[in-house]
Amino acid sequence: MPTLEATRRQFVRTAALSAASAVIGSRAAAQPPTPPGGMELPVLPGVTWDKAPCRFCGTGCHVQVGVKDGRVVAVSGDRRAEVNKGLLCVKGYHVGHILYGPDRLTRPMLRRNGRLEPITWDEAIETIAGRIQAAPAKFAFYGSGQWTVSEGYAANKFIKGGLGNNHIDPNARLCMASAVTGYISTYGVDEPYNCYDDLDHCDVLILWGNNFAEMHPVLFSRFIDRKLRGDKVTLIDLTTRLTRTSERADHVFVFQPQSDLAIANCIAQQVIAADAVATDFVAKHCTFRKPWKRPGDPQTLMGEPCSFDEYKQFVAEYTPEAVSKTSGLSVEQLRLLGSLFADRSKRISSLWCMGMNQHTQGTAINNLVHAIHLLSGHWGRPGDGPQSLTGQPSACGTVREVGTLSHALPGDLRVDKPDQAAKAEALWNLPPGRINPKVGYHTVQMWEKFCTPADRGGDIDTLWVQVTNPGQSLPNLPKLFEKKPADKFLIVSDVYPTATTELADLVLPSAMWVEKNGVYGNSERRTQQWFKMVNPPGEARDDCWQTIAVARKLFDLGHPGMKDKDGRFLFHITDGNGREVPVWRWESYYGTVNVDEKLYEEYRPFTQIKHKDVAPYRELTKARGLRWPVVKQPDGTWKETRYRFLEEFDPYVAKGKGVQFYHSVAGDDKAFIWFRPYVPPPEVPDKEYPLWLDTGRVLEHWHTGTMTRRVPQLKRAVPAAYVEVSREDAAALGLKTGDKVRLETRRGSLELTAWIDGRGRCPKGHVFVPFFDETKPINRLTLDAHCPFSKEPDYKKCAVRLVKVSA
Amino acid sequence: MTSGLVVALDPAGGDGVPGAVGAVPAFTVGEATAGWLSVALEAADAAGSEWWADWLRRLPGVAGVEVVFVHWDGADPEVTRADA
Repeated sequence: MPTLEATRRQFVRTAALSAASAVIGSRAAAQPPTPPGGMELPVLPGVTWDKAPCRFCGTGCHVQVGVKDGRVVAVSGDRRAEVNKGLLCVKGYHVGHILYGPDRLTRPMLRRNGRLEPITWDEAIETIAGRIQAAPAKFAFYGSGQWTVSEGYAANKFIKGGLGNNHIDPNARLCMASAVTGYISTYGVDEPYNCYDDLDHCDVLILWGNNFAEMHPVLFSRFIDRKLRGDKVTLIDLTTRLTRTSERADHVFVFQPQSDLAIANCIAQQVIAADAVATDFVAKHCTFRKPWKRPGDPQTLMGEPCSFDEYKQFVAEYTPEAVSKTSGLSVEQLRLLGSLFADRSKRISSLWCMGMNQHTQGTAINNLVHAIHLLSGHWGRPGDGPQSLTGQPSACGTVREVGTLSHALPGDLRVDKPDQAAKAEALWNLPPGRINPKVGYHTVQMWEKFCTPADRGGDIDTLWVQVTNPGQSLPNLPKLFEKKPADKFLIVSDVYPTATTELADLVLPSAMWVEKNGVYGNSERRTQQWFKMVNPPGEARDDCWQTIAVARKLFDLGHPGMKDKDGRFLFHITDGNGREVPVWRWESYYGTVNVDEKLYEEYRPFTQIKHKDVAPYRELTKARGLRWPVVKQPDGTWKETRYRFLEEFDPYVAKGKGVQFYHSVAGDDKAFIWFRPYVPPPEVPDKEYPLWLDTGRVLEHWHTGTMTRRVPQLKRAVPAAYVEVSREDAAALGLKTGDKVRLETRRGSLELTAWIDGRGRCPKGHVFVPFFDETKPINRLTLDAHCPFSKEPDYKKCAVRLVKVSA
Repeated sequence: MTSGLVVALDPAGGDGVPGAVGAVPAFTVGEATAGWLSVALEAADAAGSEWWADWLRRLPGVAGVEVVFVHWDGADPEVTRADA
């Protein structure tokens, strides 16, 4: 007779096998899964299941979280989720573990005499409120694409609707701001028109500087599955180094850093030369744009109109022969790209992420990739269009839609447009003129001002960081983080000790992921909701509560900005009977009202202003995310939108229009086809610093590694940062794998272990270092030069030299 | 620690995979459908689980391994300090 333990193990094994079989059943079926019980969750004794989006990247996979006795004990890919169809990547596999590191922050701590000492929450809130009350204009908030929608919304309302200084910016400035300016200057409104469904319909997938296999592995599998099933699909990896993505690509084109601008213009030149411009589409739906009045003038974000003939002249010099010299690609490779875009019979999907965005010409290259798709007519059919991806779970939902950027307001409104600010003031019930029209500091400025002494113009003296780790992720750390003057005050809300808490004056312990209610928005306009499932450890509390509690303390201290025009608290939240609930008290925060729902529903009307209608909260509780605009149907149901601007899918396109860019910059319903010239990077290798330095991520670790480095399996897989060196450069330096080498740039130096022909392979003259390792902070070396429009720094290229230290 | 895995079989050489995997006691092999094989993996701890998953990835005829389920109730999730 089997023992109880054997029975339990058999039970779990059967559940695991059933889960895998069900996923296979779903994938093998031409239609969505139908087998009876195919969607059922594993039955495990004492385990309850609920849905949540994964805590890590911007893909937006859904997981089912198994909870037993107040702890997360199992995770299963959610088979009802369209995004991942039951699959998880290695990080999602371990997502449940990240809650349980033994060094979770559990008490507020204030630095006294150089040491962090425990204090009460009341003391912490009073300390923050006191600093802000003393100098509200010198306070800044630094947030994140990992903020939930309500967390970001509360912080944004607090600073823009309450304090009125607009000094709020997110870490997403460092990863996708160029995509934002690219979309806005092309279509007049941010975010992709398309969605992941393109992966199921394209004939050709072009990855622009995007290590898709490691950064968005579940989406990569979705595409590679088609190959395994025998679909004739082509993968083109346009890259500056060989990666795991390259291993599965049909064509790997290794180009010189920054020359993506020239490559895109070369494609346009060839499309025109082949007489393959989508003439009807372009005439009806596009106009041409140049970046200046005259070549040689400074480029501007919105540029100037130009004719097709002018545009044709601008791109004429970008012939395959000329661009071959700039890019390092062969003429044949460039011709292949040109011929693909000249062929309308194939559906081409372009994807990108950090490679194009972390670029001193980030807006320009975004403009150009949209341009070649529009020009050639590879736009608008499922599988045929350009789409940016994001690296954080709510870079779109919280940063771009809630508007936690220094110029923005929720719903794509701007602080410096009086009519738009007035709309926000009306929705927030604020007196007219409350919102400051002066754009706040963007990330690089904010940290520069914080790290500069007050008597030399450093006019930010208190900075509150939530849900991010700038002490490791900012570029040029010696300048932007490590120079913090002793009299400046750094507040950090986080879940673990980090490089940022090392310098913090006040550390606040936060709840994370399923320890709180939340809403995220992923890369394809999908808004996703989850409920709190377990309690946070010790005294850890929600970031949103922390913001509201400080706002209330300021209200009590008489700060006028913490009141609306009727004298009510800025975060006036009522129960079903209309009575105010004191949600600033922790014991009431998870009481009679769902604060997350209240704030989300307060925010939702903003999204309707520019036709980005997010779904009602109650609808989100039933779905695995819904892609906005989500519009109510005559039968009372709510319908999501797979493709915007297309009449077939988008309810806001006027009948008979077919395609309508209804937020176009010029107000003519047309998108811009941009010319932007090739511009050399600000720092290039020279005799002193002869190599390119590229930085980025690896599959196992998420961003600065504060969560994934606490999971032994992930840490063992990639325990420490390293430097990838080409065989040729290694031979010239006498290096072999495992040797210690010092990297030196004009900003700093760092000792790392060399890896030759490892997971990634750099071409000659190029090295790569991942940034996940806080013990080896590569951002001490990177450049803080940034795109003039998006203000996003370039982490992908600067000049470096290598010095062998020891064998 | 128990995991549910989806194994993608190489169209030109995956026939021997179910037999090879089934011969290992840590694995329970399920059905093979349209080029995929469902597998349950049971190991004493996370390190063992990781070792066998890696073995599976390297097995001739395996084009890829994806995770769909993980259960660690009763096993230490082994979360440690980042600098440990």
